[in-house]
Amino acid sequence: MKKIKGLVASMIIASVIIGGLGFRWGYEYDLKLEDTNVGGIITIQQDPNPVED
Amino acid sequence: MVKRLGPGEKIRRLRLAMGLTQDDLTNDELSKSIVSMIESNKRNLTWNTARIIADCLNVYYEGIGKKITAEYLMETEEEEAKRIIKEDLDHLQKAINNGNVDEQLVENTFEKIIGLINEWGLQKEKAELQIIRGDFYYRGYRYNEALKEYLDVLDYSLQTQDHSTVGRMYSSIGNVYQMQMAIDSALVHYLKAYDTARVHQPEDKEKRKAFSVYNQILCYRKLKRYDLALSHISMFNDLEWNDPQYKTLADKILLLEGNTYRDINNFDKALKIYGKILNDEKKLDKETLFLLFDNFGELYLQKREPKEALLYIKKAVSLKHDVNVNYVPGLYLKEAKCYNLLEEYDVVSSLLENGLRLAEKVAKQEFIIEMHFSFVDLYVRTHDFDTALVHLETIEKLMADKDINIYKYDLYSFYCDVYLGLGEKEKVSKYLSKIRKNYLTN
Repeated sequence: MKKIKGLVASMIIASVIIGGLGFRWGYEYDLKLEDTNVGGIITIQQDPNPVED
Repeated sequence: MVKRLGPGEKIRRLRLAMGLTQDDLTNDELSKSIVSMIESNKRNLTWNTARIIADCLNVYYEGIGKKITAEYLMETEEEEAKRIIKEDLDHLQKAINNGNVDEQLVENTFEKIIGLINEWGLQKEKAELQIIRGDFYYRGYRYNEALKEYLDVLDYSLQTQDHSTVGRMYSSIGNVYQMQMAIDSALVHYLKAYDTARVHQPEDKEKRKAFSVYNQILCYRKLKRYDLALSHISMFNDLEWNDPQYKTLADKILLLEGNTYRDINNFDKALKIYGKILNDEKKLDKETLFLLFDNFGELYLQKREPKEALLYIKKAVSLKHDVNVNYVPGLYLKEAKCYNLLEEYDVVSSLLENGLRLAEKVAKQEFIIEMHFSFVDLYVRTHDFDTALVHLETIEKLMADKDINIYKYDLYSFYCDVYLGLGEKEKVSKYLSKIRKNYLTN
């Protein structure tokens, strides 16, 4: 019984830690996405011309 | 209708041109009466007789450096017309390929040949002429005129089931659409070119597939579908086509791969790929080398390192006379962006002027609009809002004329900047409301 309680407690703590990290990563990731969607220097694509016969 | 010479009349004129009598053409195998009947079309010319007469005439003609062949004597009027058309088309093609041809002279030659073709109703020759004319217009940036020629030839080749030409025309039509930034239409045609090669298996099927995949990659990059660009780069590398042209395209494919990694901000991988291409610098053709330096420059611009970027851009500038002039506006724009980051604004303005003039000359739509936006950016920064407004109005008109919507939000956002500077708050609100949705108001 003590072992089961200990296991359950460890699982709860682990879930909270992982959940917290995931939230933080997601929050930062979303912010970064917002940052890069607009603004910045426009890329000047200079690719080769289409190939002709 | 111009009268062509039949065999009999031809022989008579050749003989008289050398001051010969009918007796001069006779020998053990050929009598004077036969010669007379042939010349007056009372008797058909046979191959054997044509050879004998040609040999007799050559006794005199070779002395003036000419040779009469039996084929020439046997030629019917239609065959003669076809021969003349073929010779004219070959000369025209060579002149166009050499470059620096007088446009009006080429147009006049086209008209002359078309006259002869229509006289005889020679559809196959007409299609050959239209391909040459289409390519001529395409290289002269006359895209609508090129499209008309290619569409006519496509029609004819579909009717005659000439699958090799069908594939070629789909490819050329795709190129016209791509150069006009109608990317969806371009892709449709490149895919049709690929399918034609896959289904009908013409002789040039490997080349057609390679061209199609290569041109599709360019389209996916323009649409910023970098995932599709990379998957098609893999597809290209898996193609089997034993031709020297494959190696040239393969170098460019590697460049496109580098460009794609750069555009998804994987600068390390992009630099690695560019470095790999640069290792073989001596084996690269000038166009690929130019584009490599140009794109190196772009990578350093993206990293906000204008001095490093300028080093590579200057190398590209040194090659600008060796490449297609339609690459040069982009180079001017990059150089302008470098000097802008270095805050040397007087240089920026003259670079943009030169770039815009050239972009207009080569009908490079995306650069014309980007040049104008760059001017707007410059004039907003230097508080010359009236001049910025002129450029914005030009952009708006261009977008409406060419039905280009991808720059809509940049346009509205710059209008806001300009009207803010001019103190016209109502107009600022008007453009802000175009950029966002309304939540409470209608």
